[in-house]
Parts: sequence; structure tokens; C-alpha cells
Amino acid sequence: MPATSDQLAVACARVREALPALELAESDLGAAITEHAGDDVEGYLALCHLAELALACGASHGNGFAIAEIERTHRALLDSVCNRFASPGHSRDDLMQILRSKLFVAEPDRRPRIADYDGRGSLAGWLRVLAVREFIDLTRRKDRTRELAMTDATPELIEPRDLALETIKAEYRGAVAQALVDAARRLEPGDRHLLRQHLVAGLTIDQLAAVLGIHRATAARRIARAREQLATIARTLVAERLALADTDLGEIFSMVASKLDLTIRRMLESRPA
Amino acid sequence: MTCPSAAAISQLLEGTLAEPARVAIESHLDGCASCGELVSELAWVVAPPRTAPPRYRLVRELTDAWLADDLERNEPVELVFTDDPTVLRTAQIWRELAQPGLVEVVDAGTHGDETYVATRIVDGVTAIEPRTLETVGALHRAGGVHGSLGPLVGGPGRPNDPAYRAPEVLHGAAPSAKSDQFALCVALWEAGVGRRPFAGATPGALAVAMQSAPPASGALAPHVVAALRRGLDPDPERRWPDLDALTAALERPPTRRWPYAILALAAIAITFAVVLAAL
Repeated sequence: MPATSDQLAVACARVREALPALELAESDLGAAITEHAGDDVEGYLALCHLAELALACGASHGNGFAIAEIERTHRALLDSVCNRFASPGHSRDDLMQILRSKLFVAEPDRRPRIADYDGRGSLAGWLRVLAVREFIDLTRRKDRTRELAMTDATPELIEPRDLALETIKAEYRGAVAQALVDAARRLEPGDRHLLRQHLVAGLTIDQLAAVLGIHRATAARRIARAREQLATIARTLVAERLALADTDLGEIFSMVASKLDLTIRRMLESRPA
Repeated sequence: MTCPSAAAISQLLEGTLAEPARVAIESHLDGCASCGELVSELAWVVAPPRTAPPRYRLVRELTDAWLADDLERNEPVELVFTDDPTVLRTAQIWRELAQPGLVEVVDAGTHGDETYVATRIVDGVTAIEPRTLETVGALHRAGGVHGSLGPLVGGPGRPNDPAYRAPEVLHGAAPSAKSDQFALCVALWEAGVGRRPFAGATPGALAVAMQSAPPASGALAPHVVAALRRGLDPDPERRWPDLDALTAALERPPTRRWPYAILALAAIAITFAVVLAAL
């Protein structure tokens, strides 16, 4: 729904106040608001990072001041992303150049990416996601040790090798491994994702909290709960399938639990620098 | 669900998504390889791996601390990182006190923007016990604040479980001797009754529950209930002046004479009133 002329006038005044040096056509800002606001223009404008939307809008139309301002303000952030992805194939400067051109230059069938910024979150956060996404596509390479093969959610979550199932009586091994895989399938998808990122991708609790926008204690609690659920479900499944006595089950699963810890430690130690 | 936009992922990181949207994106991440990888990469960008001061080598992340090797003393330690610089002062006082019942603080300092405290690894952490009141009291007299008391007493600087945080701390005030007192009373109540005095799934709900006195429990002697309730008063000023006063109130049942005398007087007055009304 397009903004009314009153709404647009107020929006332009807010932008002028925040960025007196930005020369931006009212109609361009109006078009950007119309595109991103959806049905509730008033609600959108109340929450919108309007100055940043105006900069993005200006930059998408080739406004030099807007582009320079975005690059200046977010230099450190973009540098850190480029550093993370720099490789012999793509130097940091190459990556920055590629990112600049994606952000600010139109391709034959695509407008500059900066035009996609919708003002709903901070421009910094949006730039970070966009840059990481672009660089993953660009530098996707076979030797990435932390690359996740996730066609099926479970097999890589439980590595029988890591669980040292050989410590369990041979006749139970297959059943225990299968129960763990089945148990992983039954976890809440969000919790399974959290556990996988923790166990397989080696993300620390700090990192998971930061990337999922949740409190550190919440992340820690959810991981603990998911691991507990995994063990409980697997234990129930093994009990059903093998008709084992409680003492045998207890022994098997105390071993499994201690090996899960080992798995975590190994993941953390083998984390790429 | 189609892959979330850069804007949606960015809002996920910033913690500004509404709950249903956050849950939907997390579910999507579980099944989508490329979005899972995106988030995993973002984690390394927004929260680079933690580093430690040169004296330590990080071994493993624990729930609220890090297990590390102290390369100077060649022994394992627990490292707690916090953005609260006042912990340094507590750690200093802590080291000088060196009381039994206090986890030994090996070292404390700043690393980057953060404060860290290294404590010697003891066999688990100390469960709350009578001595704890005395020990924390000594810490208070020396001008320190524990700040993270609960049923288990660890070193300084750890994040405190909201259930043991005083309401003023839940509302953003800095920990104080009075909030330590509150935390100890929650833990003592829990130990005596078998459940916490206040129930609430979120810090907000807890803060509301803490506005009224916890229900009486037959598991505790009446004078203990009274002493703990005062320590659990939502107004810090109305709690016990210090832990010595709390300890004294916990140990000594109040003299019975006065209450009985008052009851007797009240009974006589009621009898008079009834008699008068009947006339």
C-alpha cells in the first residue's frame, strides 16, 4: 500500500533531520516505503530504521554520498566478514571489491542488492547476513572442514565412531546406534538444529546464543535438554526393541552419555582456527 | 517454508523476531543445508571464538564457565568471563579473605572488553551450608558482594540463575549484600521445603511472584519461616540489616512470652466484646 503524502512528508522530514547532507528524491523514498511496508504503512514507519532505509535507497540509485556513508559506517563489520572468508583464491581486497559491486551495482537482470534492505532491522545486521551469504556462494569449496552435509538431519549427528560403541557388547551395538538415530529424528527441529550446530559445527554456547538471538543461559539450557531427550528417547527405544533389564540399559547409556561428552570435546578441539 | 530473507535472518540474530517466527526459522534451519551453513558461518562472524589471557589455554566450554589449563601453575582452572568489571573487586577481597568454604580465586583481570576470574577446580562446588552464611557475611563486611549465590556456591562472576536473583536485580539493579541475602534465603527455603519460594517461568513472572511473601510451610519451624520471609522481602531496605542478623534469627526461636501474653489479652478482649454484645 503506498504511503499517503502526509506520511511521506513526515518520513522525509525525519530523514532530512538525521542526514542533512543526503540528497534523495522524495519519490524514490516513497517507492522504497511502498515496496517494503506491506499493508500497515503507519506501523512500518513507526519501527522502520528510516535513515538507514534512505541511505540504502539513495545508494541503490547511485547516490555517491549514500554509498560512501554506508561504506564508512560499516567498514569494520565488512572487513571482519571479508577476513573470515579470505583465502589464497580470494584475497580480502578481492572480496571487498566483489561485495561492493554486488551491493551497489546493478546487473543486467538484477538491481543492486542494497535495494533489498527493508529497514525492519539494522542495516549493519542485514549487511552482515548478505555478505556472509554472498561469500558462502562464492567460496564454496570442498576443503571446508566445517561444511555441513545435511541432506538427512540425523546420521551425521550421531557418529558411531565417536560414540565408541565398541565398548558396548557387540550384540547391542546396532540397536543402540539405530535408537540414537531414531531419537534424533524425534527431537524438535529447532532443538535438533541447536544440537547439531553445537556438536557438529562446533559452535560454542556463546556463539549459538548470539546467532539465534537468545540468552546464553537459554541456549545452554536448550542444549542440555536436547541431549537429555536424545538419551531418554534412545533408551526407551532400546528397552522396547531388546527387552533388556534396567541394569544393562543403565550401563549401556552411561557409556553412551560419557562418549557424547567426548564427542563435544573433540569437536571443540578440532575447530578450525 | 521458503528460505528466510536476509532481513529475517538478521532479525533472528538481533533477537527482534516474534516467537512464532523465530521457531519457524529454527525449524527451517534444521532441514535446509544452505541456511544452516549461513547461520553457522554468521556465528563465527558475530561471536568469534573466545580467546583467553596468555596464561591460560582453553580446554572446554562448560555451561557457565570454561575449563582451562593454567600454564603458570600447570593445573586446571575454571575461567569465568563477565562484562561486569565490579567482579574484579569481589575477586580481590575474596583472595584476601581465603576463607574455608570459598572457592580459591587463582587470578582475576581484564581480557579485551571482559573481566575474567580464574578459580581453582574443587570437587564440584560447595553446597549451601550453615558455614556459607558466615563466609558470605565475612565477604560483605570486607565490602564485597557475591552476586551469584544459589544452592551451589561457586566462585565470583558467574551468571546467576534468575530464580535466585532479588527482584531489584531482576529489574536491573546491581547485585548488593541485600541481594546476596535474598539469594541465600531462596536457597535455604528451597533446601528446607523442597521447592523454591517463588515460581515463574520467566524473569518477569518471577519478579511478580516475588512481590508477595511465600506461603507458609509446615516443613520449617515458624521462626525460620519468619526469618526467611524477611530476607525475601521485595524491598531490600526491609530485609535483615546483615547476614549476622539473619543467622541469629534463624538460630534462635523468638521468646514465647510476649506473643502468648498478647494472645491472652486478645482473648479476654474478645470475651468482653461478645459478652457486651449479648447484653
